[in-house]
Amino acid sequence: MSEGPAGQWGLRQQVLRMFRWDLRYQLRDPRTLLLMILTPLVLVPAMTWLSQSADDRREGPLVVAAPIAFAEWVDSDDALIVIDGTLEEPGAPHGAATEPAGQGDDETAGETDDTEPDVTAPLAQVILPVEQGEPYRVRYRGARLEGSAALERVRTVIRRHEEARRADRFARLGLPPPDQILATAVRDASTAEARAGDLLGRLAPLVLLLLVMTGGLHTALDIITGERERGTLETLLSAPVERRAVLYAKGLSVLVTAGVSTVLALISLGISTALFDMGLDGLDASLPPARIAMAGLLMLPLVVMLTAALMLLAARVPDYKAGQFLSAPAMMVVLLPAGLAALPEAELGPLLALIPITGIALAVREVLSGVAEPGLVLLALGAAVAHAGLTVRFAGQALTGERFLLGPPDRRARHARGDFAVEGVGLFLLAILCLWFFGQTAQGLDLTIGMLVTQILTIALPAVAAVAWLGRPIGATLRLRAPRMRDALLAVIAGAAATGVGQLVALVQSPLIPVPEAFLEQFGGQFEGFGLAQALLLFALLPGICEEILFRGALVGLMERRLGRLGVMLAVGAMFGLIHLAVPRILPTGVLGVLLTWAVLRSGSLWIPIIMHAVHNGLLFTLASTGAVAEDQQLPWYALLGASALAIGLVALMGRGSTAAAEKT
Amino acid sequence: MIEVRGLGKTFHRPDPIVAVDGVGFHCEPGEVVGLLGPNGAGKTTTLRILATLLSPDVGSAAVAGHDVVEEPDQVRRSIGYLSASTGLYPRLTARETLTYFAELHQVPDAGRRVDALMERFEIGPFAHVRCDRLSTGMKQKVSIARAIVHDPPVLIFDEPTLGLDVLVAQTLLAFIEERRAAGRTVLFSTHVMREAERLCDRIAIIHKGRILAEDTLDGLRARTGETDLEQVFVQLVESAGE
Repeated sequence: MSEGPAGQWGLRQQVLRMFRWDLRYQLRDPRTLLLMILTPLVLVPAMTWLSQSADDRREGPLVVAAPIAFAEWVDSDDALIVIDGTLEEPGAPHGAATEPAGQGDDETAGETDDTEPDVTAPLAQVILPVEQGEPYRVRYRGARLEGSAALERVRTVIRRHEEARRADRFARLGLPPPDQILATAVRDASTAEARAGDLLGRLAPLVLLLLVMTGGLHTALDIITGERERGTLETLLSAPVERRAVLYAKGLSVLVTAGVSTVLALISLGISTALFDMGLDGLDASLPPARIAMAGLLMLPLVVMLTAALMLLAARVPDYKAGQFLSAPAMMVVLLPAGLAALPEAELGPLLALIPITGIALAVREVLSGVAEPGLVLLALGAAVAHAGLTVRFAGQALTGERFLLGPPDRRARHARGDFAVEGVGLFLLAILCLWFFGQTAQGLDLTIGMLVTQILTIALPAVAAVAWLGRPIGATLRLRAPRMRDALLAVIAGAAATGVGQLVALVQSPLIPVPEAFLEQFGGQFEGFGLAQALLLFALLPGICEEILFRGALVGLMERRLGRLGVMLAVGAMFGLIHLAVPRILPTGVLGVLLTWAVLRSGSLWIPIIMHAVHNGLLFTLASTGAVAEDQQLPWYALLGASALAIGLVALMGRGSTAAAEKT
Repeated sequence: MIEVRGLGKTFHRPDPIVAVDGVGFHCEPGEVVGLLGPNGAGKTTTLRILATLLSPDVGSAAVAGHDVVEEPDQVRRSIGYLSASTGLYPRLTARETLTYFAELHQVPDAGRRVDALMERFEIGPFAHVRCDRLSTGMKQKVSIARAIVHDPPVLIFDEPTLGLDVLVAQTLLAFIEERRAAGRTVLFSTHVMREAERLCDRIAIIHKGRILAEDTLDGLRARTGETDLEQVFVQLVESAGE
């Protein structure tokens, strides 16, 4: 349908006229005022205060016990560690300098001399005790990525030393090992400004994006979805204004709402950092206005991109209520990539600068921290402008069509066809959101309780509840029928053989996605202290049941009709990979997820992937805990390939002779 | 004033649903034409195409001499469109609503025109009340005033009496008669037979997306041998093999 010029008015006049009315309309909504003005003025000071509290928690001793000498355990080629005041680095790649032994360090932990921070100090430093019973002290510069890395290496050294001591005592005396050997205290020696910048830099992008989303989403839903529901959109589109003028005016309203939230948040950030001392003993940690202004500039294209994305979302949900239901998953989609910037390991580089949301979040963090490289920041800004342009263009094309007026297909008709794919995606996003916020926290506090909470409350229970809420028969949707004995036996062997699948994929992807040593240590370390039986229950049987209820049960049952067998295998496999929340694990677990999905489709029984999953996890833990396979030992590729082929072949044999029954289920 | 030929529209949501299938009729100036049919017959889709809200898949339609596909902007200037809902902004007042649409239609001397409409529809007492606080009847008055704020030659009303009480409905029907007397073209959809009998110069009976008959009320009676419009409708549907 061609659109001609609208009489005496040009496009700009039409947009501005409608925008003025839209804005007036929006400002009369108390919810808009709450989200746009009040929330940033409250949330940002709260974030700053929390940052202060978080910084306080980083102080204090790590371990206190009888000291022993461990200097010989420190890697002599570790350039970043200072032992007993002696800098063991000939190259000094980071400009580190020697700090005299024990100088000013006979104080208690947390009272070291960072009132006058030495910017040339080593990134991490271990100071041996002078007197028997004193703690070892570890000082590091937490505002620098290398400083945090050096701290991790010191911790690794200490842990290895402890392990060796334990093993030695076991071997010689058969005595139980001491729980703690070394006394250490940790102290961040970064400058106050750098610490404040680093702390706020990690949190600020998340908070800013949260405000953009909360402020913008409500407005987008109200002036698109709400207008469609109220019939005002139909009335407006029958007036002599161009479709794109309507779209731009509404986009401008969303942009202003989201933009005002961002600007107020940045102003609030500047005031808050000036008011709060960020736990830095009264030191001035206020952020320079230039940095805050630069952060605002960086956020601008991101706000534009999210505005377009929010309008697309608003146009595609059937009603306001559905839009609100999707708001939490939508926020997660935005906050997850921004959350990457909060990880200590994340650093703005040429590749990350190009990733939507992550690039800008990292750039904002580094700008606020005062460690930004101008070239990389410009690259991130350029990429964000390009992303915004593409999103706006796509939204412009999508929203000028009839769907803008008509909305998405009728949900009831879709459900009548057995198509619950949208709900399936929503369920998955809800699960990953719960896992991210509640599961991770619970696991951090106590792994056993955390696993129970994660698996039962955030994975299995929502899956069953969602199926029931959608009015689907639970038994049939989850395929709870008893398995055939033959399939169950095949599943046991296939589950064992499937251990090769993940390892093979990890091997293949290793040149592109190497697994960091710290990741392996952290991953392996969290299972220490568990007996084999307890580990099998917690890490094999529990996920085997709960994760399969969600993925091969609910998600396959809800999405199969829409996506078909191949589509649902790929989609559920991808979801299974993504929920493991670690880049090196996404592809290996994703491929394993595809295999498990194939197994449930072939066998028609959820018990089959449950058996496979439990055997797979159980075998891995048994081999690792009994020492049958060393941590760093990797089977040859042909063995992994053979195991993978066996697993695939066994799954292919499942359901033979009962295909019809499986199909019906 | 309105000329519709072979209009067709299929929705893919995602299965194809034929909403309008070869619809054709015409309306002359000073004439009230009723599009009569049950729910889901294709009335709203036809009117939305005429209001340029939807594009036809096949066929053509012209309003006030302007093609709905080629000259949508001119068509929108020529019509006053009233959707099945009142379509009012809840947080704008009655006066603001009229002013907003007068601005969108670039009505010269908009303030005076708004005043005149408020007087005509007795909106004055609640002119500064937000629309979400108005009664259904008040809302419908504002909605009609909004639709004719630019004094269009063609009025397209989609089930205008839906949800109205008897008194408000009577006011609306009287307004339609008044517009006819003023030489305007009125096309409105309804499934209420009595409204069609009272108002329409001609009636197009639509069922399952197709026009079964288009004629004057007397013409339809003569064709079917029935006097009651409801019986006329039933017989036409049955004779179409539905």
